[in-house]
Amino acid sequence: MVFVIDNRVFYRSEDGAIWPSGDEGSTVILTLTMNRLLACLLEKHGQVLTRNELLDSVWDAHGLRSSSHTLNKYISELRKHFVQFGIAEECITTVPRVGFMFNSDVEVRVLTQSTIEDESRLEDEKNNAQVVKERSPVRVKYRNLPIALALTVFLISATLITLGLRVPSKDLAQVRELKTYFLFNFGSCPVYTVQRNSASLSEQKKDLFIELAKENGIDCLEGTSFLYQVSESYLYGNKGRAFISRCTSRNDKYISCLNNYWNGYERTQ
Amino acid sequence: MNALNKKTGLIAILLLVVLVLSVWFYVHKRQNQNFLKVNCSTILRYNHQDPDFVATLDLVFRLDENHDGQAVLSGNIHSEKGSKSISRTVMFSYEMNRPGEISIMETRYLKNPRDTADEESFKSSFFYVPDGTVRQLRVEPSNNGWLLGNLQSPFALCVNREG
Repeated sequence: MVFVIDNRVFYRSEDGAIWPSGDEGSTVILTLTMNRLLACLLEKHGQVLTRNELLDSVWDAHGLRSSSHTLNKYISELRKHFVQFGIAEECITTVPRVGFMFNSDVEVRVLTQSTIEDESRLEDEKNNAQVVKERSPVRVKYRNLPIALALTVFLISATLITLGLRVPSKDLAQVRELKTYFLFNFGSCPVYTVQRNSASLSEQKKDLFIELAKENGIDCLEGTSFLYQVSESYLYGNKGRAFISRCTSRNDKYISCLNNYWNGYERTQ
Repeated sequence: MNALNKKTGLIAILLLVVLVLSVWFYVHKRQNQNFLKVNCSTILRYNHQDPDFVATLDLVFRLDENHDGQAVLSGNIHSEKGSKSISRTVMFSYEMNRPGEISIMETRYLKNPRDTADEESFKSSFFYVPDGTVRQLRVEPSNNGWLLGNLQSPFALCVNREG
């Protein structure tokens, strides 16, 4: 027979097993005498059992010697078990000068075999539900993590590849030395142009150079040369740009340059 | 369960390989990106119309390996409004587009307190790049100098500085 005490403690009278609800691992097996004592008290739940009745049925009837002191000791041990299993209320009440009774305020149910199975199943389900409840949010939380990581990696890779493709990949290491073309001598100073000079435009370029040089006080100094560039539109009298750089050199190396740049009636942008 | 773990592991390895290859590709492209190393100076007389001004400037022009550049301008601007001093540093990032041609972008301007030039004049110069835009410059080696210019015309022959 299994008793459920205060819905918190299970007690099986056959073998004296007592355990807290939902924690069969904490089962305690009562001694034979203690088991008989608790069974007696539970069978007469809410009724007072005198000391003599208890001593007779638990000890004397089984050929054991007893005393009131021993009874008190066993009662005390039982109380400790109930407290240990979480029942704060006093289960076994002392009735002064009479005996003891199992407290009528503490609910005691007796389980049949079918009820035990039901309760056991319900308890299992409850436990399982709790486990599922505890696991579910975690699972939901982490289930999408691999997808998120994969997407992140994909996005990072795509960004890096796009940026990499945008980096100019032409072979630009060989920046060619600037080619210059002799135009004429301005005094003793050679004038070079950046672009080739066609026969038809060379004279016009010379004239414009001389004109610009005179207007702006650009003289030929000893050991200097000129680099010159003029836009064709400027040559034809329209808005345009002109550039004259006078450089001092020594051993074919520039020492310094004075640059003149005219931006006609046109903005650089 | 084991099959599932194996599949997940394979996908993870694949993703890792893709990521590593992408990083390698990007780093490789960046490292192979060409740069110019320029540190030169020159004097420039800049005649501009509309607005009318003549600027005489000392120009220091630098391009570094890390694709940053500087143009230090100091001098005077003469216009109808009078003579103003200009003293500012233009810092920028650059990329090489093709041999002898760079794009400058992300331009920042550091103006010294003695710089009194009006912005209108400065905005007409070569190194003004409005926010979010890119400007092309030609930078071609010539002997121990660099011929600097816009796409239409050179504007300065800049001589390498010693050291």
